[in-house]
Amino acid sequence: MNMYKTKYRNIALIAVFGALWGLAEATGGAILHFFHLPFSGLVMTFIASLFVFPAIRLINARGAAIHMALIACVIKLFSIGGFKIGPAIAIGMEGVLLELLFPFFKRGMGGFIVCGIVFCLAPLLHQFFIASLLFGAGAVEFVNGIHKMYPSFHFSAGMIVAGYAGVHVISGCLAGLLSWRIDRNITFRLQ
Amino acid sequence: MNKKILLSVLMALLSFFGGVYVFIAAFLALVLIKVEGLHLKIFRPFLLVGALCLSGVFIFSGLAFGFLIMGLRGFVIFTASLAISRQADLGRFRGFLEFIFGRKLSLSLRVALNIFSFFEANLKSIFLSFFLKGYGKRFAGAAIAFPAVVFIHAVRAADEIAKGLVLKRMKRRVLILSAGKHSGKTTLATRLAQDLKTRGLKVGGILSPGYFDNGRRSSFDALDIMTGRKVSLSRRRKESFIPPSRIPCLLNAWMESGIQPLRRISALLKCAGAHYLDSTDVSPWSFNFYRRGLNFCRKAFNRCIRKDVDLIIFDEIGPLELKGRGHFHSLSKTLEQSDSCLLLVVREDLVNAVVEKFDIACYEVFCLGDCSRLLSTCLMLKGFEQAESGVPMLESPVLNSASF
Repeated sequence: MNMYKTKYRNIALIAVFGALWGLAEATGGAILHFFHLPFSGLVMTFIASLFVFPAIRLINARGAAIHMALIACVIKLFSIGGFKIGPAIAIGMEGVLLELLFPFFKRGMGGFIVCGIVFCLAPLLHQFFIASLLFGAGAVEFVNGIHKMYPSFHFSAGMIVAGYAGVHVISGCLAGLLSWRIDRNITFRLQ
Repeated sequence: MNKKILLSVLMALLSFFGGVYVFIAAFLALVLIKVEGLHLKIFRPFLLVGALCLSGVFIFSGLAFGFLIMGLRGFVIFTASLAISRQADLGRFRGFLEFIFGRKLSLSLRVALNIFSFFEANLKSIFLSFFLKGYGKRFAGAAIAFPAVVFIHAVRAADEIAKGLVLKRMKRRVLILSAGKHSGKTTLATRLAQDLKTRGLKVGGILSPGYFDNGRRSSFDALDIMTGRKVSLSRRRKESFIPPSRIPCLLNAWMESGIQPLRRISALLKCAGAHYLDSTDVSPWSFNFYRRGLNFCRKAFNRCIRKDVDLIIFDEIGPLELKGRGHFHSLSKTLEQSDSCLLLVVREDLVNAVVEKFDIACYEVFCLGDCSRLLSTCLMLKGFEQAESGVPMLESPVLNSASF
């Protein structure tokens, strides 16, 4: 019966953390988007990483990240911000990235930080590439928007993108570190 | 479909249009709360936000109105989700969800969609355990402690859900009818199915009556107990001088018999002869299984799962199923998804292997002499108490192949 206990525990953990991720995205994401705050994608990825990383480490099974992301996608589709497909695609992409990063979660703090950086770069990737491909010129609009916001400064497009990526990398480091501390805290308490 | 579910779906769709439609949806949600008696405690934050927005309408009119719309939409979606998870039998959509997402993910999704009640129940205890333990005093500590508290509550909830899923699996009764080869297991199962059907039980599944030719089993049919339809399931393969299943044995005999040609030939003949001496064996490898027959069985078992019958009979769970073929997938699916009682017809030497392979936690084994006990156990499924006080019982089948 142990095999089934583990199997059903994994299914329940995937359901609970997928729902938690989806609810965080559906409520927090919609509110951040409503106020037009910058880095809303990054903030949501940062929050998600705090419980998704330890959850993946706890479940320790291939496919868990993708399953959680798919559940979060389904919940996000019916969010209070309305029926929007763009964020759902971003969550799916994050799930695929986490699945690829799965072996890193077994390597302590360094692994968590690497995962945090890659995970937090996902919104940037989504904004510049996926959103551009699917919905039009996302990257160009973004650079033009920065130029309009600060007309007196003469940033090159490369500098803007590099600065933007730097913020994501630093946030990723912090997210990885925090999630590693949370993971340690939880491991201690669950024993 | 349930009217309340339709109303919930309509509300959720209306709320996505924005503007005046959200107000209509919110009004419908209030009606649903009144009719359904949903708890309002969880909506207090929404009501508070709504009140704040209304008071701010005169100050920042555009922003506050947008925020009010969003708050109302959240209220509508949450009410709709609670009402749907309370009313809808998500099991009815199981087939569709499995087709889209696969078996494991569809189960996770069904659990996730029913999880709002968990958040409703645990929200207060999460905040209480966080503040009572004094984690909220330092910001740096809180940044780690709060997600950790949420995480631990979530893990405990997952453990509870998993325990429920495992218990549901363990509660199901599996009856195993076991006896030797050609002893009349299928005959008994057929009589049992007929008897139970006449007594008003819903019996489904597949029986596999065999046909004999010159004292040897020549073919099997698949008989759908529910519909009474019958198709050919398998037929004995045509004998070849060297059947493919014997090739490894022949090669082994050739290698081990030394280098003398006469000894080698005698070893080969001995090995080939052993095949004919052993040819009465109903080995799955000596039968051809028809794809049409297997599909027919699969559909019959799926119908049993959907229609929630009282007893599902799996005739002949044997070496083929132990190798992951034949009825393997149907039996695994039934064990996982159906709440019905199962009757497995298994050869007596394979009972332990079948129990181990399918990880059956709760089972009862019956032999051919236990017909009365088997019938009374089946009747008790439906609460037929008279079964214990001696209703006319089944006779044990004649223990020879002539009864087929």
